[in-house]
Amino acid sequence: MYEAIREEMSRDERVFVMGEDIAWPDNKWRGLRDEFGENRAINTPISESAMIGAGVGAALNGMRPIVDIMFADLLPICHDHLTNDAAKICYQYGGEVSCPMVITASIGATGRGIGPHHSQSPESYFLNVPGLKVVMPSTPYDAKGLTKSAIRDNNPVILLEHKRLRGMKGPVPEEEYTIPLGKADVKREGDDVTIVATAYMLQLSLQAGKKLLEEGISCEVIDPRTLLPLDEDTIIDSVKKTSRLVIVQESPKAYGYGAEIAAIVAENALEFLDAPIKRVANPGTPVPPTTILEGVVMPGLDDIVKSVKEII
Amino acid sequence: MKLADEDLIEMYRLMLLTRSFEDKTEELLPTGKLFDFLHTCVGQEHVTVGAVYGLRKDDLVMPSLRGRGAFIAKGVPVKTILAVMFGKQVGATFPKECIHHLGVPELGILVGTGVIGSDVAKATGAALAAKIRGTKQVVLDFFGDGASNRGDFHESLNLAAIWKLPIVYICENNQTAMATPVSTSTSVEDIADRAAGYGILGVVIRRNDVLAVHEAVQKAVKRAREGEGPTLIECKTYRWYPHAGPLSRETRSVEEIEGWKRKLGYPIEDFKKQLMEKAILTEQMVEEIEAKVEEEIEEAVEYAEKSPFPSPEEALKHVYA
Repeated sequence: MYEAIREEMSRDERVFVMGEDIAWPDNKWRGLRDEFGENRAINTPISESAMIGAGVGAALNGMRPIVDIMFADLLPICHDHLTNDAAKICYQYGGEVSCPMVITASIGATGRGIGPHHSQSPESYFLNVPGLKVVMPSTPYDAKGLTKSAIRDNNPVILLEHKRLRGMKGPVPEEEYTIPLGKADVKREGDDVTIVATAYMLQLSLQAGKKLLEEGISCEVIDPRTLLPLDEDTIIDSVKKTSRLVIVQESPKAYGYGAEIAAIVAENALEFLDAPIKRVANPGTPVPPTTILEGVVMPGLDDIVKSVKEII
Repeated sequence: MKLADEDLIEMYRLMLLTRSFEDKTEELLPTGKLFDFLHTCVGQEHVTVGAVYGLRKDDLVMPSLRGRGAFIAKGVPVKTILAVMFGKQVGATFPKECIHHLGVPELGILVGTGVIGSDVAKATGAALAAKIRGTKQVVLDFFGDGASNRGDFHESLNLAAIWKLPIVYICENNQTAMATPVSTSTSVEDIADRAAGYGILGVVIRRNDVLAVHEAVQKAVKRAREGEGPTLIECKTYRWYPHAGPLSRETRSVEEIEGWKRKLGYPIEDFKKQLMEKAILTEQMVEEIEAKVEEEIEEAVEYAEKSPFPSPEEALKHVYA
């Protein structure tokens, strides 16, 4: 993500970042401040609502802001500007003006129990908001390509980065590339069951796929990469092939993307299903602040394996 | 900028046009043709006209929900405003927003929101962009006394102060947020005092005086353009009509309303008197201006009536760019 932002800031002088503690020597984006100066890597006070509001205003006056909200748990503070301003600008202006803006935020439980206000995966809050785009990368390659596309997109894009994927290593080409928003990726091909997952859950699902193959179960693992807009066709086509579907999400089960994907499959491919659709998700609790309790509510590798086996 | 006689006459005309427009919409409301809750600015016309008059064309304005004068002074034809209120298709694109939140990009009018106070942050961001881009634009952000109690107002003033942004915050303190009096909702007597908390300049204008507003805003604009940062200007004023069109019954007594009019002055009437005393306006000129304004309003009604409704599929367009 950092590489993508850096390259886009070099390519387009309208792109700038702002966020809390950018000037801090250990900040993930500190290098941007050294390279592009304090006018394009702006250190903000703790004012999340005004930061997003100001981002929208800057977009209206010719800039392409990237606003970093340290934890996605803080996004509810900014909900007004995201849903009432950013998401509606294009519609309000009848298409004459849009709001090119990226909001980055970290999501997810860390496995180290950092508690209910720093561990959530709140993508569901935004998936019901027409006008927003919501992106959740699961690999370094996707993160860079999707970040570039998000910055070049003329709509407000919420880019959610999972904390547990931060240290992840993976191949990223030297040369320029982008990944289109709204295009899913089949991360693992298989015949017996389709697993749909994002971010860290996608990595767990790939591990589950590997494990299940040892027992002769072939999983197809699909990463939507962008949840809004959602690449419905890739999921429907896969279910038509495998006839079974498991959806994995870290957020609470009710009304999450799992519910939407299940509904889409029911509307479009019900007759292809050989078993009930399964959802693996947080059971509907806050994320508790110790490793042991966190593990109880966080979907894990074993939960995914178990759910797949239940419908085979 | 020194104002010539023509400028003074034009400011008078803009205020009169604003007032006449508002009165026409009140008159049209019972016909059921308006798709709008009227948030009229009658009694407050001098704030927006005085503030916007003399801005650079590329300067930006974020009107309040009671900001008709800002649209008119920034150059939006009244026929366009009325046609949008009639729910009609205007130009190539149909703006899908109530008139008081309408954005007009070519005239530098920023799109608003129905959420009171949130626009303060957006206007601040537009000023941030002006600073980063080095455009030397200034942003005028209008809002009411109610908005000054929102967190966004406070966060934004702090941001504008620390970054020395080219913005002028103009609080139209009309004494009432819907039905809640300022005296029961706001911790300070003068909202401009809140500027001190952010280390910026606060100015209070205590009469309905278009020239006082103009002068204070011009000073603040000059400072902002020269990189000296934001100013908070509070204009004590009073809303003469109920909060919004058919929505609200008048909650204030006639005595209270008339008392405030006498205390703060009559923005258009007093200004006309001044100009006539100085022989800048004559009886004949006043009549001519009034006739022209009347004509413009009638043309607007005709235009709004004649304009087509948008096609139904417009509702589904422009969700994404």
